[in-house]
Amino acid sequence: MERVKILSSANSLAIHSGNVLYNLVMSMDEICASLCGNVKAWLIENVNQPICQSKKSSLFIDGGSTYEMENRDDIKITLKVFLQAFDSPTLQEALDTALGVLKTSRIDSVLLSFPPNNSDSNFQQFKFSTIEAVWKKLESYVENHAVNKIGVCDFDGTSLQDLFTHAKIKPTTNQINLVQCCTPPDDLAAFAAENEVMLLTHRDPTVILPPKTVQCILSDTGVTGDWRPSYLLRYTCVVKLREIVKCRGYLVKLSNRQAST
Amino acid sequence: MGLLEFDGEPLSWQQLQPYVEHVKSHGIQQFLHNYNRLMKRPGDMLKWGDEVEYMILKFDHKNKKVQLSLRGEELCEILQEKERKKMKNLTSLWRPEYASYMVEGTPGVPYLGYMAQFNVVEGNMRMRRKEVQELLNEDEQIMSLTVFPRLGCVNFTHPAYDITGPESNPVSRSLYFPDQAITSHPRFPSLTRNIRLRRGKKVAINIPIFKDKNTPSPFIEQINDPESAAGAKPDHIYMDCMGFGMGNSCLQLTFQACNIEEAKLLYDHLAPVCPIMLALSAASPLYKGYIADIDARWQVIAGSVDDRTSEELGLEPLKHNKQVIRKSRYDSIDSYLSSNSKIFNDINVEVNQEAKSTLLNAGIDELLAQHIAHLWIRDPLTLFSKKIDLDDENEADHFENIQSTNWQSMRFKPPPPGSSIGWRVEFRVCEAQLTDFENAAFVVFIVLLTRVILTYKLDFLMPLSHVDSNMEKSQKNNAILKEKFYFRKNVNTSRSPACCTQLCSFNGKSNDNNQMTIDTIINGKEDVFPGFIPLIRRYLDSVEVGVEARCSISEYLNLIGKRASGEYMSAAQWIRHFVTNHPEYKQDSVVTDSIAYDLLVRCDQIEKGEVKCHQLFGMPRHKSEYIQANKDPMNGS
Repeated sequence: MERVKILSSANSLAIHSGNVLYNLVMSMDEICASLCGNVKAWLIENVNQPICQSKKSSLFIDGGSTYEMENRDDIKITLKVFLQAFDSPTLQEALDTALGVLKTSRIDSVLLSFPPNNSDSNFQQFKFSTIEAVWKKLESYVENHAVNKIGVCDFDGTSLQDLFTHAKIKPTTNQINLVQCCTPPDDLAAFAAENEVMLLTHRDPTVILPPKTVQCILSDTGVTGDWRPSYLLRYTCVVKLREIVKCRGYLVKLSNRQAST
Repeated sequence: MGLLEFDGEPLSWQQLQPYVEHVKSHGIQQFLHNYNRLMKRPGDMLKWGDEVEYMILKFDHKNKKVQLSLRGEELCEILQEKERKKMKNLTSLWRPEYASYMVEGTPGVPYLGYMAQFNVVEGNMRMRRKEVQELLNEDEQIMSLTVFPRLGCVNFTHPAYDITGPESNPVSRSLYFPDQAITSHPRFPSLTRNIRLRRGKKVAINIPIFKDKNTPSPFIEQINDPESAAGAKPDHIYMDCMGFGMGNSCLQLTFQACNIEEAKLLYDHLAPVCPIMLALSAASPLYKGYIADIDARWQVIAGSVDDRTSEELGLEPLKHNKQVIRKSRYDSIDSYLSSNSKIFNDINVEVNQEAKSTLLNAGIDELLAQHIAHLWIRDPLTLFSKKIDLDDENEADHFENIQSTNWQSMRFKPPPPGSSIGWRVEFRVCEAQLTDFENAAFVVFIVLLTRVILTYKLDFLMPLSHVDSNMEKSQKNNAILKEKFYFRKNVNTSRSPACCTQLCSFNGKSNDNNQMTIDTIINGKEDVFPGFIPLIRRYLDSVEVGVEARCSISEYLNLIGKRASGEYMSAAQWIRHFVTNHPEYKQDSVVTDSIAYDLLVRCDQIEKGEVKCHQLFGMPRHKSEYIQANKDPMNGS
């Protein structure tokens, strides 16, 4: 198995799920279900394109196509990027990969999810200084007209205010988890209303990529190494004014801490 | 339909006869002109709206009696003032309904296709109720009640009218329902009279009575009129006119599809959902002062407008009529419309052959031609003297005449000529719930289900004979918990060619594995069925939903889910429970004036939030507010 060796010695591995909208696996973790088979399929060489990117031993496995947009203006594309560290080159890589697989030059909305610092709460505290570099990178996409609106996830009231005050391009949304409770904290609700920051909702777990998900992605492959996630990205394409989802997929990037080089 | 206007005098049944074929053939021409002009309408957006029918009740607190107040028409006149003055952006629009104790309210402008709209539905319903309530006297209440418990009992209206025999009511010849309770707009009395004249006798609705310990057996009503006595069956509650059906309220919704194909698809895939929603929304166990053994009104209305002759009913050999017809003008649909659905059209569809050939010759596809030709087996029931000769290219009155008196579970609606409205589908089975919260829940649930069907390309198709069998079960006493319903196990077919998976996943008619509880259909069951609610939740994870809308939607899903699982009672079961546990109830199936009074006082208190009713809907945490959506729907572009 030549490919097992190539992969085991690679520095990093990015995987694209393709459109997973129609995989209605109700009981399974969607991320696992979406990305699991891809590595295996590549290893048994029935996927014909080991796209090696510029840098040596950075592999990209493209597990499928997305949605062919007849008219880009009818579609709203939203990305949610789950970063594993406050690292702006990683964000750049995630966004560029997404623009590539979606074959578009423009994303309607990007939401940033930072690594949680309080896993007991649905709301996180972030100082602007911590996220500044990443936010500035995101702003640069807006300035280049590659992204229309930008926002964050799970910010508490203070953190949202801090970001809003210091950012050159303001967040338009804060996506929060309201599984347990129907009302957002008063200070957050008040600040969001005053400054027209939309409070959107999600049901993602606080820790989106636990070790078992990474294990699942590489399971039954014989690939060795110490693989850690550097980002997870989810994209959705929705038909505007009809609210019909056309496409939903994942990009994940894993880095190998035991790479031979 | 706009404001109910009319031109000229309504034709009597005799006067109408020479024009029956005229209306039918021009109706077809009007459909064709419309179709040719509009079949290629591109890309309409989602727009949708609900319709709630309300009743006006008058409470006599001193004598513990409730009556229906016949003020609907005069109220409607006032409620329509703003619309008559062509004012824009109204909160609500109002229409008279069949009975003069009813009004029908809709949102003033359609809702649009974005999630924040789900948060204004309930608020708008509340505003509507308030708008009417402000016009009422102190002892009157507006209620969204599906059936008035003592409809047809002595003096059930205010003002009350004496009925001494069929001659008291020349329009309906009813022994129970005064002609004065029929809205005076000529359409309604004309329909009533002409249904009776076409049929050749009064309609006869027989609903099984709920047999309690002290209910006489056999249960036989005292009827002093030969025609009625001949129509009444033992052990049944007998009702004898259109008012018993069309005088009931319901909850309907209409949505605009993006094109004709999407409209056909939604029509088809929602048809199997109809019986499920009818059972879930069931709210009508009481008729004419008795407890019935059914929970939902459907068959009552079907019987109330059944204009089939004895020949068409198959009771006499065909002489004057063309064919035997299986169903009333009001009933479940008989054929699917999309070409993929054709193999499930397994019940006999009677057609008007002439209409069908005209449609086929004009290039209409087989299934749509069959559908229209099926509607066209019915005769027009009303016609106005100045609306006989029309411009078929620019008017559609004759088409609408037949279309709008085919009251089926789903309605496929072509765009009206001269408007910007696209192809629409109407979902017509739900019963009205007591509160705005519940009505909003049903409406939002169904609109979300359409988004889920379109997003995941789900396939709910099953033989229509199974849908009909489900329809029958869905009206039974406690159908939610007691019955099992046919439903597809495998609804996810988008990965394989449609026709193949359809055939593979549905193994013939007698396969019991295809029967599920409503709980399984709504809430899902591991390895059996994904469930509507888990599918909706999954869908919601892929679209932008604001906090407010998400919380409202969660409460709505919670209500529907728990109604399905039995944790909450349906309105029908709750009403049944209230009556049979009332201290004055004598286990004889009779709902007395004072029982009805106490029931309706309680319903009113629940609606107003003065009494909490955990059995019906628990304790919703969140109430949607009436807020004008302030965000531009076009945001993001």
